Amino acid sequence: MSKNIFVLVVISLSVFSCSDRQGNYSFDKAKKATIDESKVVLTRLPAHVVQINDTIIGFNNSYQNVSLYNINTGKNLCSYSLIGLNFDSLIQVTYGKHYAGFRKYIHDKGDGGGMENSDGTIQRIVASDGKVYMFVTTLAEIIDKNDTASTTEYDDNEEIKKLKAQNTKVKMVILSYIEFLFVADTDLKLLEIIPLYDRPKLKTDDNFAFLQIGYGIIKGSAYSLLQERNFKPTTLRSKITFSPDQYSVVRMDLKDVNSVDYLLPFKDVDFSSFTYQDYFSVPYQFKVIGDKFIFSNGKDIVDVDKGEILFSHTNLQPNEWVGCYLTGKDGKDHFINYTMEPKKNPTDFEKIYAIDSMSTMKLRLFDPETKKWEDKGDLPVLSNKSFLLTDKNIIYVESDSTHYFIKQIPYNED
Amino acid sequence: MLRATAHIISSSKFHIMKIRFFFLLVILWACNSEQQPTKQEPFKVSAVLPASICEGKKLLIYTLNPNDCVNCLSVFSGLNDVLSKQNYKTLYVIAVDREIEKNKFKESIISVDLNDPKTNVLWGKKLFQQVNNLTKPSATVSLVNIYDCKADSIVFSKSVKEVSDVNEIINQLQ
Repeated sequence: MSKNIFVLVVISLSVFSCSDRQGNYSFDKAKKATIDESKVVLTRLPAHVVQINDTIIGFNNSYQNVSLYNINTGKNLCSYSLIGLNFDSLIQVTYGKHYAGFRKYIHDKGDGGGMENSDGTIQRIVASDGKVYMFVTTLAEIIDKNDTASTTEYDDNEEIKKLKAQNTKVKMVILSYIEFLFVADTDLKLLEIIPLYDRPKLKTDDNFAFLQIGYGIIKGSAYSLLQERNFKPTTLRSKITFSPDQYSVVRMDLKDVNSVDYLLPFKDVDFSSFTYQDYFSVPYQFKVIGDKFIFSNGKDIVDVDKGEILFSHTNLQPNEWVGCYLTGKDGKDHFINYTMEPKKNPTDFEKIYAIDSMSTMKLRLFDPETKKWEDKGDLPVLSNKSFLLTDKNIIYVESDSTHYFIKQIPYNED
Repeated sequence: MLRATAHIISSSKFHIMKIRFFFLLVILWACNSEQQPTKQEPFKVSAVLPASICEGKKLLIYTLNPNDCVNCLSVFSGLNDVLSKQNYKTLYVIAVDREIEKNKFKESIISVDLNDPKTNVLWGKKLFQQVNNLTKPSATVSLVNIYDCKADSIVFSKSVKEVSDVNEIINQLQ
């Protein structure tokens, strides 16, 4: 009996450790700094993490504020919050003025933001050119004298027809996203707010810049995913088919609405395996590496200006995705890659939202000459994909029951 | 004497064997019981929440997740403003564990005073999920529920952001 129990215990421990997501590291011991919450209380892991410099990182906290932290001490150095910002006033002095005479913007506090007194959302942050950029949105009703089609667009919607048939009075209010780029210095002092007005070329072509899912800023231009205005998923699991000549990326001069360039046709960047869920959830990267400005769609890594493939999806396993990438000083490409697997017993909720499991996350080095991989070790699975890769460290945020921590794992041993 | 002792020893050994066998049976029974978890009644709220929460016929239960969609708690505030005026018995189950977060949440929600001892509030991510699982398994969204105390089950459950007409809730509470 005792022998059986012993065997059972050993098996149980083995199973438990296999299912434990703290992997084995073959490099230096991890450093951990408790995050200072004296000014900003975290309610969940940060939505995005950006590197400001060697010792400072920035978080998008719950889409409501941005905070900068010292990586080594966890100290909150500074923060910027949308709370208290008067979006109604901001909209009137920007969009209201810009489109005066033919558009009216009606903004109701509470339409655009979350649980706090904020009326907007910080959708995504980027650090570039010594600045911190925040893509901020709110919602407003737009009454456009010259665009009656936008109000009649929903008349054929079956649910709306039903509503109108069942009620004598139906007032339909269509809220549209109002978009801004907030630009701050590395003390998070606001330098300027750039309203992202309509761009004639995008409007004519019926396209839009999808900054919500990924963008980069370099030398006064914003780069983001480009999409058609009628881009609508059939189901989240459906495969997307893009026309090979359709473009995947748009470049826009931040100060000149007429300066719009379409880049990287779909024939040059592989999206062939993408479902709609993949398209919305991949950790796209636009960043400067060495003398190149690169774009990663989680499968291919491309030199944006030249359209040249720097790393091909053919080097990945079918369910493997690029999370983070950089070219190391050793001449190898450094990756944090993850794999996704369908859930064995998905709930109805998980089926509807096409939620899969992240099964592994690894640090991998790729030799572009030999085309061979070197696996450096397993990492904790971070389903929010918020981690940073530098040429010396992997940086991410984790929590226990009482605190949040900045974790650094040095992986290049001297 | 030696023979008598041997007999006593033999008897003792047998007695000990009987005791050991008894304990083995107990252990095996216990193990067997653990392998077959107690059958839980589906949707029985009393399996999850304390019995004392229900004092009348029906109870309005909000399960609130501060990390729900960015606009959902604004919707909850609007809903709560209307329903609280009707004086329905209400319980708030909030998906927050840490004290620092509880204090922050209390400051941010103004439509209900979570510091007031008369406010019925229970905290905890695990409890939040257990209550949500009663009607919408694995859903992490904020819900508005109506608990029928006598039937010990949730008779109405909807995501806060999907409530388009507060009367559908009021009608269920009558």
